[in-house]
Amino acid sequence: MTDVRIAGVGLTKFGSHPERTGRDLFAEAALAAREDAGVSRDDYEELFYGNFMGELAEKQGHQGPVMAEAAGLDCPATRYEQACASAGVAFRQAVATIRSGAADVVLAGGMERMNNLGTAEVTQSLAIAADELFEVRAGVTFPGAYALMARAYFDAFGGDSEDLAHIAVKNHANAMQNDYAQFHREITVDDALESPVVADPLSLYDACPITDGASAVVLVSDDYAERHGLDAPVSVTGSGQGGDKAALQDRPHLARTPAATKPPTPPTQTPVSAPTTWTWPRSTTASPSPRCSRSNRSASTTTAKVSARPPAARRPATATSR
Amino acid sequence: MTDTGYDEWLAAIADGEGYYLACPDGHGSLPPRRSCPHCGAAELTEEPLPATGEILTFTEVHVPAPDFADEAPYVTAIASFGPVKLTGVVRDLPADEVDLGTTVSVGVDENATTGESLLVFLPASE
Ligand SMILES: [Zn+2]
Repeated sequence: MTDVRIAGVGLTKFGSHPERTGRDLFAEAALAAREDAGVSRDDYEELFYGNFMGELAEKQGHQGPVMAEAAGLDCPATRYEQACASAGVAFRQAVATIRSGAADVVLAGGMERMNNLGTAEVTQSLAIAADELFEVRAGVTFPGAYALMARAYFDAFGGDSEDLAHIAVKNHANAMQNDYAQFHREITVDDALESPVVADPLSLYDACPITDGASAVVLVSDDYAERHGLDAPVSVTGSGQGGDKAALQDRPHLARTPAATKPPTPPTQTPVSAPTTWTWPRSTTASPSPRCSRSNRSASTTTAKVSARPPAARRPATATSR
Repeated sequence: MTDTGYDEWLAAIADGEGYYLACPDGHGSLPPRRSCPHCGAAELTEEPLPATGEILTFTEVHVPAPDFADEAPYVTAIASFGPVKLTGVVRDLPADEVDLGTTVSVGVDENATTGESLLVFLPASE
């Protein structure tokens, strides 16, 4: 089983780009990743692409080939739809494909366009990730689903809206350092507590903004990186995916998300010794609708572990074959 | 739109004859089902839904989807009825009187926006 390296990354600024097509958003991220990677166009063997609500936002199904063209590639292209975990699942499949030896170079990524719809239409579009018969018809919106979980959480573990307000304050403070973040504006706990209610106990700053954006990652096998002398010091050392019942009412716990803590499958390989490891769902899950990644409402959650090693620590090619 | 299995289930609740599906191990689920979502057993029988349930969590939705534009703000709750949980809109009870543990019965009313059938929870005195 080969190691998987990250050869290049690309990201759009996240925000409100209602006039930009999905294919243009993805093209920006994909071309940035391709330029970062420096891999020959002919060497791309697959595009794995995540998107949740393209049929509703742009009346565009069959997005795989559309996005391969946008990325300037001529290769098989497959779309993954798994609510907020769509691009996370695409990334995971890219890792599995390279590990299996079926491909050496895969472009993985995702795109979501939402702001060309109004708030009501986006609310309806996001709700289709819930169970249509048993939840959506009973008025469950996406913020509503989180609100149901938040109240159950408060009941089981304590906490209140002020605790959630601190999360919004922290997130806004972190965004000040992030050029790709949607908002560059600090807020106070009072700002959050006094904001309009979306679905009690959640208010405006507890809910994610409606966001347009795209991300892309060039993944390559260890061998490919060595053969082509790529500067790709970051390895994917693990990938996990957990599942749960689709509807909240069918889950044993309303205040817990066991799918988020299931062990990685397949088992991770022996991690390379690494100066840094961190979980990295942010730019690889479909961040344009990060409500899921916040509280793992999604019935499917994905995480990827990556480790970075300085180029000097990279082993010679003769030592990497297993 | 016709949703065979679900429509009959909703009609039965409207008639006060609600049911759930039980597998041999006692897991509950709701139709349409051909196997138990909890253990995979294919032998499912219809069992009467308990007359009352208990609210486990709820939210008052202020920003609705278009299909609920004329309902908002409205309270959606999840309530336990024996071995199954149901999700419905709370009717005939002010939002500030809804709480965890509130006892409710289940019925069918009309969605004020779409005119479609809507699963509702009603206050039940016990
Ligand atoms: Zn069962």
